[in-house]
Amino acid sequence: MTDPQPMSIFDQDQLAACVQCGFCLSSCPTYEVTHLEEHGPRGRILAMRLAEEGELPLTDPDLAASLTTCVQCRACEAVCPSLVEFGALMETARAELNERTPPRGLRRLAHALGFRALVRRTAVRVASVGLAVAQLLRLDRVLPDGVRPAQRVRLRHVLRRYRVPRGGRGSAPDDRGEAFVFLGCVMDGMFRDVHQATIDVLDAVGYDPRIEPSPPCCGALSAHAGREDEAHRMARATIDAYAGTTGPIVVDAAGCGAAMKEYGTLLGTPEAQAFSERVVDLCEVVDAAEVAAIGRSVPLTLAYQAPCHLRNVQGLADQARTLVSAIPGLTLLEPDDEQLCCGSGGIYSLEQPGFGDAMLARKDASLARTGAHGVVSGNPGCAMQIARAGWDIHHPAQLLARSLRG
Amino acid sequence: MLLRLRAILDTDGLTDGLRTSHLGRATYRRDASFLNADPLAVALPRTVEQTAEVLRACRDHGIPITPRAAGTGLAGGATPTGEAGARPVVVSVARMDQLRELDVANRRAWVEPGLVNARLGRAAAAHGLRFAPDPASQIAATLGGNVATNAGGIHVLTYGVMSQHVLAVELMDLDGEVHLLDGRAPEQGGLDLRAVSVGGEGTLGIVVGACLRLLPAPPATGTLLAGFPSLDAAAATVGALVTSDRLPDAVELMDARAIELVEGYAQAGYPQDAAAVLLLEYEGLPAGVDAGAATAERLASEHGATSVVRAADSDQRARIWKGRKAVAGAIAKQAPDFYLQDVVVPRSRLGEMLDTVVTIGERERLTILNVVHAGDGNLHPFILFDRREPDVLDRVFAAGHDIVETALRLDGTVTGEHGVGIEKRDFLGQVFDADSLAVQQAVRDAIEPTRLANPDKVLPTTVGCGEARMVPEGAWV
Amino acid sequence: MTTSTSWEPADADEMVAALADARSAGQAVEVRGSGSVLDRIPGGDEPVLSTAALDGIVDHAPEDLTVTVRAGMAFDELAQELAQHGQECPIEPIVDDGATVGGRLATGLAGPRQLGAGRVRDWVLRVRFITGDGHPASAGGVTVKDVTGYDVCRLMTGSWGTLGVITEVTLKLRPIPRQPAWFATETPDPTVAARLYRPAAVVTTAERTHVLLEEHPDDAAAQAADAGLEPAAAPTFPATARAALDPAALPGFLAELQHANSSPEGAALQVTAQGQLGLCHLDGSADALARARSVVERHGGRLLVLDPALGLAAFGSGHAPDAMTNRVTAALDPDGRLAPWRWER
Repeated sequence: MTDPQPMSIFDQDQLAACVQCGFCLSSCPTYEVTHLEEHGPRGRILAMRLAEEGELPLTDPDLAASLTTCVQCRACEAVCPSLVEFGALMETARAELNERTPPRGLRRLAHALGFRALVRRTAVRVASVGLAVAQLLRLDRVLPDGVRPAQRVRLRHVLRRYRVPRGGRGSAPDDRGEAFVFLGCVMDGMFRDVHQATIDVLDAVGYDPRIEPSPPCCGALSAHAGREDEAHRMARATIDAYAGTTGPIVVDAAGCGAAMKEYGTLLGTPEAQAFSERVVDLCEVVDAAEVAAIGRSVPLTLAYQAPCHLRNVQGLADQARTLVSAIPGLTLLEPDDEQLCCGSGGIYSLEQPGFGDAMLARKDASLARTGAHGVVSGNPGCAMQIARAGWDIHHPAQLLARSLRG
Repeated sequence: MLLRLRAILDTDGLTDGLRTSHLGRATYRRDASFLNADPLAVALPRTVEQTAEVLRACRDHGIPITPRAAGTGLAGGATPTGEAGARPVVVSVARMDQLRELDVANRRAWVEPGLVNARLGRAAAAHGLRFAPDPASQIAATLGGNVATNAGGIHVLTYGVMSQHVLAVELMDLDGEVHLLDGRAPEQGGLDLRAVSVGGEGTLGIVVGACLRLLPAPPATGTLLAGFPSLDAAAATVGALVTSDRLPDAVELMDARAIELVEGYAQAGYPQDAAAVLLLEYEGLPAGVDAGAATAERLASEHGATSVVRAADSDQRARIWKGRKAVAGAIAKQAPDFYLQDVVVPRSRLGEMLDTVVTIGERERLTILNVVHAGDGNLHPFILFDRREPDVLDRVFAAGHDIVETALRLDGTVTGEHGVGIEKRDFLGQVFDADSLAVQQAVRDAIEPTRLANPDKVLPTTVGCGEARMVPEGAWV
Repeated sequence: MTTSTSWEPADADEMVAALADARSAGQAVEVRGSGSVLDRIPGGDEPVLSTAALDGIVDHAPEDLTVTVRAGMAFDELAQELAQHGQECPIEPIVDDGATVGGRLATGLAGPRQLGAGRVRDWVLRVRFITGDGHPASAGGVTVKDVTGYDVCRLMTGSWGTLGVITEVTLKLRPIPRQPAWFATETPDPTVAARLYRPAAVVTTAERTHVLLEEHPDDAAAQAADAGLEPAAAPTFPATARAALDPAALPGFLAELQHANSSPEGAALQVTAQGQLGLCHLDGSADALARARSVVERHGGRLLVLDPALGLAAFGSGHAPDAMTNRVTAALDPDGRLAPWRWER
């Protein structure tokens, strides 16, 4: 190994902004697993500084591990008194790491196939159908635990076609105009029932829901994995697809919504900024008071899980929680784990199974302590991860649809 | 030595309890202070038994230890320095983070040292109880650390510092033996060694457990915000408040610069034209809270307050506190770095002290914000800077030094709640005379005779230390 | 109490000299304030170092809520002075018996208001003292918040004169409660206490629970109504012995005492308990108290007997100092000049 050299990878002001106060530690799910500084936000920023200063190379195994074990939940940003933009720093670090130590062997193959598939709707659909069939025939059991999706993918969901009520044929007058449901990649492949619920809810609260245009993927997973160029391409393609339309772009996957709301900063163009401002989570367009007034009873006792990218990036956890608890008959319980990440993190649970499993175990124990029968979660990654612990997952859209559907 | 530690601690994968790598050590060079030193290794025991074995191993090899939990301290207490250049093993208790027992009937909790302060607060709140000490770092700071530094917070005026809430301490010595200090009964009729271990800053051994007192949550709260045309008027109001017939439970003062910065950032509704604001809180039963708040309104007006607002509901209360809590964020927008000082003066000298801080800031061409636990006379001047500016650190430390000297001149002291650590150690010769320092040293040596527990901290040493670097190589401070 | 030698120094310098005298005579001394406590424990014929001449307030700063007094000043005199400014230091003794401020600190014994106000040690800001080897020293400071150095102030509190001769004390003050009032009810303590928000004191006698409320009168009235309290006189305390144990162990201790009391040979014990504090005051015969002591110690507590005529030791075996206590004592009093017999009597 050659002597490390000072580098200039990071935004100097951002790196300088951290005063190492440590207020972030208890918010960090990986620090909570090991209680090691190098697995906490403060230690990771120090690692970036050491690389930037040339004290250690970015490829130092410990340093690289410190950076790649971050689940990118961004809970640290929400508590940082110095407003460090940790997510952006971490994406920069990941991109640089990818360039220097590209994935090898099976991991490389998986990345190549996986990330390419995201932009091809048919590929995702074929994979989803394949998974559904495999689960039906119990062929998925040949996959090792941890890689095997626990989420039950049902053929009838995967193969379903969206029913989109059009102008006046829906249950309510469409006086709120058009709303575009963002279908995305994995959601469209595996969670069509959630999208259908979103369509129905939008219809019920007075929107004219649309599912076209349907760009293939928001690029969030690529961005988190440090595949910067790919993320930029996907973002631009998504923005282009909606050119010429107006009205809210409603996202029912918290991770996608968070990424799309950050296109403005990612691409830095006025066009991207304007697009980001159109992006809303489902909970932002449904009024809790209306649900409480007109909704039908959904007699379930569920625990609320706030997806990290809803809570920490979009800052909507309270709003979403309020909305779901407004559903008549529904008892919503709060787990005692401070809503720390479940360990899903996009493909994190596959890449860091040790951390992912430890985080899931903590989440599972906390959910169990609530005494709830199921879990409310508004993000596909979280849904798949928490399902691995044997929980029934309900998307807020599904609960709202059940309450509001005529 | 390291092999022995490795044998004691879990070393498989995620649970690796011993870090000796470059990065592993680098991340434990400092706490939240500016002081850096490179440890020999970092040990993270999971149990009291493992901790005992780690300490015995260090003792056998004559290697010093630096106890640590969250590392949110501001005085370098967890910076791993040793005497004469010896590199200590950092012993982090962060993995021992359980609430051992919440004894609701007797209003107390047994905690492990790594339990985060705010987590105890949440657990207690579920039973209508609270844990009173509330240092600003409470979301991450641990109770073991709070015990070790005798932490404070914004409710010290009526609730007292940490020590008043610590019923018992389990202190482990370098032989790995655990001493239950004091115990849960009052007036045990022996020496209150518990008192010395609270605030021992890791120099007397490692706190491996504590029994803490819980209080019932107050049924009513009254929060006020008053703006003043001068710092003196605000300081005089504080004097009148503490001599009135009911003490406020929190009295926070912010100066004009702090108000301006915070208001631009958090829009908490602070009066922009004020030279100082006082943030007052009364807690307890409703009539007493109302009477206290009414007295405060009257006294503030009598001392020339230009505005006095009492929060009508919890939203308004939250907004008033939002400004106080947004200080660090507001500073972050202004400058990348700050040096947070901690000094105390008798309340009657507060006005004089604040004026001098302003003068010091002007002389050193530095922006200094004053955020003050005014009821306690405890100042926290924030000195803002950008470390990339040449020679700025000299001016920052000169200002910090002068602030401490000023506090001493006004019969005050060098630290009210952050602790001595390394930062304030060399001021102790000015606080205490030789005989009093000798008493301090004698007590320390009596409790921890090996001199291996966090050497180099709290008391000035005759042996020069200087292993901690105020500014490490590279510009990151 | 008869004494062979005694000193009554007028200031700290004279105190140093007196200690030097005793040292050169090879004598250990008993430090004495008013004797309000020392006269109630078995004494010997040792030389006495009196703080009686160290009298008076050094400085009272009402705006700082602090007062500095010489150790020999009578606590009730200090209280009267402070009351003129509407202030108090709530560490009064259990009965008005002329105790000195220094004595209050040295014994650390306080009345029932420590439930609401905290212990004696929580009101001590600075102590000036002479170490056993004759060095004048101080600990703490005159500010209400101070974490500079080890908390030797609290260490001195309750050290019963074994670490140093306290010459001057700075105390934290607070406003005097405007309308303190005692109430009583027949409902047992835990039930009453659960209905009250931070009462100033709760004292249980055989028949009744007594409560001191120091809140705003409207609040006190509402609290009293909630808990079914009636206005009542302040309770009186048995004064022969004082037990301190874990509050959680107190009910078991009381049950055992009651059982012993009801048996034919059990001499009657008067018991007043402060449940949440884990404190109990007792009156009774030497036999009864000896039995009570063994019960307390079995529950991990300690019993202090304050009547030398009973022929019992003041401190029980529960008070035997451990190794760390001995090391700390030796650090401040290396030659054992300050009441080295303390815990054996």
